Amino acid sequence: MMGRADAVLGVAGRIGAAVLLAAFVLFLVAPVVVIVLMSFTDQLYLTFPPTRFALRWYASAWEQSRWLRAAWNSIQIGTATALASVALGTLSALAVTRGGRRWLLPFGSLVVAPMMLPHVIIAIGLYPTMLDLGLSGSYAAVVIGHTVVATPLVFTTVAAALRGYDHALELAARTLGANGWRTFRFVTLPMIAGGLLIGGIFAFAVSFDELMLALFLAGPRTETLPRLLWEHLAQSVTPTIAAVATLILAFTLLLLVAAETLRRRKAVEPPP
Amino acid sequence: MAGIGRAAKPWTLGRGYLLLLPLPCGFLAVFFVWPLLRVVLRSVLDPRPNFSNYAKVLGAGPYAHILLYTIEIAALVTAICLLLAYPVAALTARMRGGALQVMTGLIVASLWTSAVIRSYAWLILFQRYGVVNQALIALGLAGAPVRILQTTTAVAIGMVHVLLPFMLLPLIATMRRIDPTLLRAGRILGAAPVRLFLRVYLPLSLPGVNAGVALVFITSLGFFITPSLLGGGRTTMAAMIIEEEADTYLDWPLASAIATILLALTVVIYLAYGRLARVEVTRSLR
Amino acid sequence: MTRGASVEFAGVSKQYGLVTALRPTSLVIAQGEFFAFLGPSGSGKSTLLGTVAGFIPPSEGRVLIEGSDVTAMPPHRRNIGMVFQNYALFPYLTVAQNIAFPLRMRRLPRGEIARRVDRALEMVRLGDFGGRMPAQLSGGQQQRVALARAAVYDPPLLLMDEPLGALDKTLREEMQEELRQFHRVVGATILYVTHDQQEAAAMADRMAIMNHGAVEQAGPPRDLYARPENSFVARFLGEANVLRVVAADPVAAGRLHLRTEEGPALLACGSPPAGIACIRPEDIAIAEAPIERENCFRGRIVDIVHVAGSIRYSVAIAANCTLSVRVRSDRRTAVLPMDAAVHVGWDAQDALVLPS
Repeated sequence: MMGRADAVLGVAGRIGAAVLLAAFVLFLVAPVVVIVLMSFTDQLYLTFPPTRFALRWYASAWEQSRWLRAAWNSIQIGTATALASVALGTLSALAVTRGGRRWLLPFGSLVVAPMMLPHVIIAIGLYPTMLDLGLSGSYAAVVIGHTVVATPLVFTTVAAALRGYDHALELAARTLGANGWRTFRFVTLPMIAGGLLIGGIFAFAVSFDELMLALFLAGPRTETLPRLLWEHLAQSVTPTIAAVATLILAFTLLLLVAAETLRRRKAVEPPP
Repeated sequence: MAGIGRAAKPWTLGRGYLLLLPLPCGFLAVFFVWPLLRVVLRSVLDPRPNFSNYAKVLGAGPYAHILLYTIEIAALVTAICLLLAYPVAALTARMRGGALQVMTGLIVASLWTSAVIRSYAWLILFQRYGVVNQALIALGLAGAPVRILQTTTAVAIGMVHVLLPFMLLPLIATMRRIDPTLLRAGRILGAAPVRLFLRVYLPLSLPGVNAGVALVFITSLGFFITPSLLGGGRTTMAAMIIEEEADTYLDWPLASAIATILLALTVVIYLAYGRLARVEVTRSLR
Repeated sequence: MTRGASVEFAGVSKQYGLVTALRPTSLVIAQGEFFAFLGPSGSGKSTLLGTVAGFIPPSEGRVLIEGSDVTAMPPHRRNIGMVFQNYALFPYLTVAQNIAFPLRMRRLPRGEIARRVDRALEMVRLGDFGGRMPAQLSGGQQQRVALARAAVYDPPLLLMDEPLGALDKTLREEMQEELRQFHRVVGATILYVTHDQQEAAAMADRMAIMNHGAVEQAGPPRDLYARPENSFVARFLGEANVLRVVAADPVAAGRLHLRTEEGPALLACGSPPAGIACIRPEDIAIAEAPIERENCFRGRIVDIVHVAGSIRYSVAIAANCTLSVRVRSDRRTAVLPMDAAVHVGWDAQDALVLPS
């Protein structure tokens, strides 16, 4: 597995490398594992290692309707964000990769920019804008905020998919009698479907995890899971939070596995 | 005449695709460009059109100190990330098959794990009677529980944990492109390992280093969640003070001024990094 | 059999900012003609083809197909068939679905589509391959699918952009034969872009040599070879020994005495202005003994290359003047040795005098 490393590293080097990797993996994984284990405690406060296994904190989370409503809000907002980001990201990616104008490249950088900026700057800019539009605290406000920061991910995955195949396919479709829309529908869309779906999943994940914009743009009715989590963290550190965190972790991991499976399938076999 | 001839196939359906622009353009204009502009404008126009907000930020008081501290901690976190990630990435880049998949899987999964949750995990670990203190006492490294939370150490460890994937992924990507035959050729030509590393491996991995450093540093500057949870009350970073001034004290002009400085810092580094990366690419081609 | 459409370029040009991709070009291509555009990359031939397909709006001028102005018409309404360099087959559709694509776009009834697809598959001898995916076919087979797809709706005009560029040499020559056959059967006008002069000369009824965004000369391949109008055409088609003329003195009617930059002075047929003199390698005779021609020089063989059916000698006749000489050869031909002192010669009428 480490093939060539052996020759370069030598025995002492190999042991050192193994220790380093083990320490790294421990550092990366341990904190998350601790949370998961603690969520199963039967105590009133967080203990590690848990003395007895119990699901009482999961039950407690389930019983508090606020958690459920926040989760439902997050799923709704995440789905709407994914749809909006896919639409905007795909439109921008098509224009930038196929438009054939030099000034489109800076436009591409502008589309990607929100990914690089601290969310707090975007948040304090969007807050008064939403007030002006009468959207403050609404679902639309949060969805729009999340779409601003999630679109770059869709843009980059879709643009990569568009650059990944010969643009002559679309030219060919046009000469064969397909108009602009049908060229997109019957050629471009089948070619980028995988990238589109992966971009959508990423966008959902970004929204599902986003805190800062939700703090400024969401209202009591539209509060998201990260925001509620944040509020609870500021007050107390109960095992309920560990249970909720574990559920969120599991859900995110599931999304990631879905995206990865899609990516693999796309890489291995040509699209049907 | 400026010149004749162009790339082989200048065929496009350009005009049609340009019709797709108004929607994303409009969205970005209303919900990204205008809000940012608004922050910048408010910082100089509110309450009066002058630079009093900046005078307040840069003058006496906690703000200038917080900005400096933010840059310091971002630099510290970036340095630690680089030192930790470089050897790990170099080892990962050599892996094949299952081991490589497990490593990249771990890194990507970590990237996608909520920052709130990961910081919360460290919050628990670092508590007065938490796992870390128990371990320190058990190992005899401390006689009594040490205060870890609310220190720069705690903030730095938490941020490094969250940001490591941003350093690792570009490093691994660059290192995997380094041709192993180059290293073998160097060995055969008799270069000592240290020389080989300094003359061959390090220069070839520099584009990845640049990308990783820029990414981690820029992201660190805007960090909010981790420093709030792990440093809350004692160590304050720029994003925290912006949020606080806006949300708690409703001093939007001041928050806007700090945000504008943070924005300018981010953009400058981003532009400088772009140039740097291009230089690196052309140099590595030579 | 389809009646081919005529194509007319009326002052078509293309500018990208300050860059000129195509200078004003006027050209008429007759119904049913196999017309090749030949030139190096960046010469404007793809730009010209793009204006016919509708991928490039000309900066000035008009494109007419069968007499009607299509300059502003979108590509999908032009009813043109096009074969692309890398075939541009849809990778997620089967061969039959690929060929059916243009018929579906034209909303033909299902039965009609099936019938036409079968006929097209037969025409390109891929009858059993309808269910395959393009990736499962060889390069030559993909090429034939692309051809079938472009022709299945009987377009009166077919555009081909280096369609054989991705094939290896033997297959390319086979496909040339097949394309000519195809042209005879289908009857459509074909505009064919290539940078391979042998390919163009082998297939085209007429061709246009392009350079620096303009047509240098157009006509049947044979005429272009025999009577190039300038040095670019002379050099681009076949080989040519080019000597730069520094002074030209008329010695008799239609005959010039030329002094050249390279040294040798020679007699040639032609009239001023004389910029260069071109002599085809196969028009030069070579022997050890002096040669009875109007121009004869002593020289030394500096290189010998054997090609199928002929030998090419490089003969140095002056300090910076080396001529290429080609003689037909078979198994019995005696090969002159390297470094041999030889004579080369040609008649005045073998040297072409061109303005530049």
